Amino acid sequence: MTDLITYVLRGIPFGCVFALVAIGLVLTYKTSGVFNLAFGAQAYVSAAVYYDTHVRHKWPIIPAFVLAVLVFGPLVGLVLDRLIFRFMRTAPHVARLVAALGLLVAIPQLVNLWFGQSPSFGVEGIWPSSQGSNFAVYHFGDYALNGDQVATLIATAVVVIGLTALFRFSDIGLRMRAVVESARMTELSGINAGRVGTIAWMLSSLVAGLAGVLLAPLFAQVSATNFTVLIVAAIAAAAFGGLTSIPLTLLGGILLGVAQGLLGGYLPPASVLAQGLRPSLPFVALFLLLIFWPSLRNRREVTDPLAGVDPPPPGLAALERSRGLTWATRIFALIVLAIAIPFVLSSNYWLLLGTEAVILSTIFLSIVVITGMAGQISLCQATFAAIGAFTTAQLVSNYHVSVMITILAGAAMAAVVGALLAIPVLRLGGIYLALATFAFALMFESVLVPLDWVGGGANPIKVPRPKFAGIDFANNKSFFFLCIAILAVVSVLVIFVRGGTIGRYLDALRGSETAAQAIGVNPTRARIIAFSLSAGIAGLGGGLLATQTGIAQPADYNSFLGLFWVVLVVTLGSRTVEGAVQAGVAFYVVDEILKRIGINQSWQPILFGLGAMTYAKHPEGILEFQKRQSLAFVQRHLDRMKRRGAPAEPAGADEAGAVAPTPAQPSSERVGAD
Amino acid sequence: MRARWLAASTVLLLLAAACANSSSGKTKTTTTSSGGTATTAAAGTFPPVNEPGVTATEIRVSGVASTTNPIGGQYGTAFDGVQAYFNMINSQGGIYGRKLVLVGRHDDQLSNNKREVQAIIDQDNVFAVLPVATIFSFSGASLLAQNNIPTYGWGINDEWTGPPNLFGHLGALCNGANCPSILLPYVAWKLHKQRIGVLAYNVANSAACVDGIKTSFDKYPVAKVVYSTKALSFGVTDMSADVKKMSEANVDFVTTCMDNNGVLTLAREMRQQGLNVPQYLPNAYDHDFMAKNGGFFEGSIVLVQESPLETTPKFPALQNYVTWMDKAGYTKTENASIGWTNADMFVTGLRAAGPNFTRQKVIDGLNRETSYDAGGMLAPIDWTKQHTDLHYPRSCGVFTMVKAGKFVVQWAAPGKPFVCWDGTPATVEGSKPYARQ
Repeated sequence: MTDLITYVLRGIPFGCVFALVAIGLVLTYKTSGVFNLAFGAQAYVSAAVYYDTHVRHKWPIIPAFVLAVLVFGPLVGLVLDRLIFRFMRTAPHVARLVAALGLLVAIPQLVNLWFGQSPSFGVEGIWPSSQGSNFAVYHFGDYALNGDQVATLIATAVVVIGLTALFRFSDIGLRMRAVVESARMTELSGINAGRVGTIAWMLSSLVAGLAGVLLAPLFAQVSATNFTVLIVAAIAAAAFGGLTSIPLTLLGGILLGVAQGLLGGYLPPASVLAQGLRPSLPFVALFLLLIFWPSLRNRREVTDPLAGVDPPPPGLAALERSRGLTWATRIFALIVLAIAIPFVLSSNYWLLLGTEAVILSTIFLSIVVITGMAGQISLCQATFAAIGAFTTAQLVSNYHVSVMITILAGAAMAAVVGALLAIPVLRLGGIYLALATFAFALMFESVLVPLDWVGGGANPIKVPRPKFAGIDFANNKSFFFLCIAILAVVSVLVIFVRGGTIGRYLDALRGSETAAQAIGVNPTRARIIAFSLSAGIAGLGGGLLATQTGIAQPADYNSFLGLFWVVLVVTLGSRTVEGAVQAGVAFYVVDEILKRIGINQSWQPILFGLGAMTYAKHPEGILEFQKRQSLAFVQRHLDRMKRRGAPAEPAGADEAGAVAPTPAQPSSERVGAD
Repeated sequence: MRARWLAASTVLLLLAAACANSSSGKTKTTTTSSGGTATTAAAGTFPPVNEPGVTATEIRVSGVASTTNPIGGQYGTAFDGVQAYFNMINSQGGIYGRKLVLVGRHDDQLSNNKREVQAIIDQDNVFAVLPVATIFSFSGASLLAQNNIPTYGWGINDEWTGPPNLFGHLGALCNGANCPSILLPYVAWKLHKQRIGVLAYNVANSAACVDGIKTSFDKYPVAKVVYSTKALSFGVTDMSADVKKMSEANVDFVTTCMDNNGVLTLAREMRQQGLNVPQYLPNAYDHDFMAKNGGFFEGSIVLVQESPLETTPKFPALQNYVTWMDKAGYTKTENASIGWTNADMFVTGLRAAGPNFTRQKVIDGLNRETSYDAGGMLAPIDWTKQHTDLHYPRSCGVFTMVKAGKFVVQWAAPGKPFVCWDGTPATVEGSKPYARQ
């Protein structure tokens, strides 16, 4: 009994760490409607400012704290609101999540351009004497707290009381929630939604700054990675509070900390159970909460009642152009390929980049299926790729199966796992689906990857190149063409699925699930097929990537790398095959261009991260948007030329130049996308 | 083969004769460049060399390191070590009339190693690759092995084991349960510690390290592992229960397989719960880290893989390292030191190959060394065996104790920081460790 009390008490300060971060997440969600995965990145900004002023430049604690938390914290919120989120108030939740993902990728790199990459040891908190021999420890009987824990406990209590009072008793708290519900309706009531939104962002960013400075001493040095990991672990506590209740979130955080303590105390330390469960507890808890917690289980995001007046997203540019223009585009694409392929084959380096770009494009097609077609954000595509890679590696290594067969087996395994995962998570939808898939990715990394029979143990498993149809693909050029062939096959498959029954069902479900069900569409079946297909494609790409690199190593399939993949694809174009291919190519080409012109490679994630901000305005992707613009431009000129030669005014483009399908244009003149 | 041996020996003898200030006094096979101060003159006409990356005036090399990494490791400083060494050699006229030039500092950002290695091979036009300082995996190793390019680096990845052209600073790497080591049991014995706690992350490398520690204490039962866990998560982790259990198990010595974040979190929790026992830190020879956090590690033992800066008196190679790093204004880190020794391996191979050198001759030149130690900077490596043989002919380590935030070399002799054992001792107590430079 004494042990139980001890473990519970010792878990509370740790729980408060989770709680403080989770409350920040809930605050942002409640006041802006954004599930702000970039909260950790915002915390990192203030932590870096505090470290730079207090540790590097020896400022006293109070001015350093004021600058880092009270000035920089709200300032970051102000900038984010003014530049990004004020334009997204009526955007779908998924668009806001994508924007937050973009910030998660971009902000740390931006900060590092100033803060530097060199080690930043000697992190100090706001509690005096928090280091080394002066380390302050306060004893309460057998129980002891250090100064940083005392500060965290006090700050958490103040934040909980203050925010609860704000939302319960103040007008501004009510207005913040109203703006999230419907900015347009709130404005009809004479409330300045823009100003309220700005205050909400400044407040949540202030809490992020406070968390950053308070929690920085948990680590040996100030690093964005530490805060990101902390945020991910704290999401479970936010989910416990239903993403809305601050007291419940506090309770969730404390329960999480206590559960960690109890697992540490009662599970045999050397047991496999402890090895799997202790590190993955926050992710397991998040996954289970999303599936079973009553306040989340049947929850859909609150949608703006006026959203119905918004125009539907535009169709694909490729579906709207004339047959002649389509053929012209295809010929142009062939010319580009005819130039690019010899260039890629010209050196081993470009061949390596080209091959990896083709493989990554294959993996990115999985995002086209799940995001572009099904309209869902999955954050575990890298995990499906890992399943493909590890299955391939284990089968080759232990059973000496043909590599080509193992790659297909890896794809099949990923598809099966995808289908099984889809059953519980797909009814969540929106950000809850995204969070559930991310939790799954982190569970996979924490529990399964360390096992020898999955990740291969301390030394990555070697994977040879395939031999197939009498060809040894150990030759890099042969392997490149094999990867192109596989990409082509998968692309055709995706195009067929999109144009077939499942694709049309998914289109219908994106428009209105209720209406789709009314005409007999089974949403569960359609989405499970899409999820499974997407997972299978990612698994196929993962197997190919392992074969290309020669080893199946976890770093190539890291879940955070997977976040970047999603950001990249949705930024450039998640609805078309060429969007995936362009994203695959851009992943390498942009990096290479930056290297060649001597610009810090950190700019690559910054560019793509900030590019994700355009998702709300152009959910079809930047490139698809540009394609439509170019198409409109060309079509306008073609029509003008046609008008000059024709006796009467032709049907087609309107005077403004917008290209839209019209009943006057015969359907036989339209051809399929891609 | 015999002819090659003779040719190489002749060249070495000629070089030794030309080396007016050479004072190492070692045998032929252990003579290294950094041990002397003016080993090569640029005088004379040297034969043309038709090898990639070699011109009439330069020998070009390039390297790759995980410069950008999430754990704050200073792996990129390996380049500084190489550059400082090259500065020293070039100040003496270079090698065979040619300057040594480090043309590329590639950053593999943890997971792009193969890509960067391919870039080095295709675009940098280099004769050799150094340094290589990667943390997770050295996936470009296969390319370097296939192309038979002399490669030198921080040999902590499994890929260093095998190919004869890959020279890690430890030789072949042996990790995990199959590789008992006397080093940690020796420390426990010296400190009179009986009850060991072992903590590790739930990641494969860290877990393998725990297995290795247990195996070591099974073989050398001077102390008992009474608490071990591989269940800690990277990042934020609550160690309060682990520390409580270690206290209850009367643990008197704690060893970890974690990074600096982990050992600091553990140290704070131990302090908080009043568990005042030393730690054994295999990855903490970082002066900045210890200067700022030394208060948590007073009396702890830090394993160092090369001669530490605290060695007194400083032998010539170490003095050269300090001098040339300071001249260039570089920070002296563990990785910088490894970079320096990588450059020394390269130059040793070059000198053994002779003025008409080729990549193969340079590889063969170092592979003939039976006790290569970079002038005392490294534990000796028998390159005739240690590309593949995991049963080392000797075990060596440098042990430092943290005192007031500084590292103090332990159980060694003046100017000889390494504590070594020949063969595989049967027991710790009956073993005969000796100090060596």
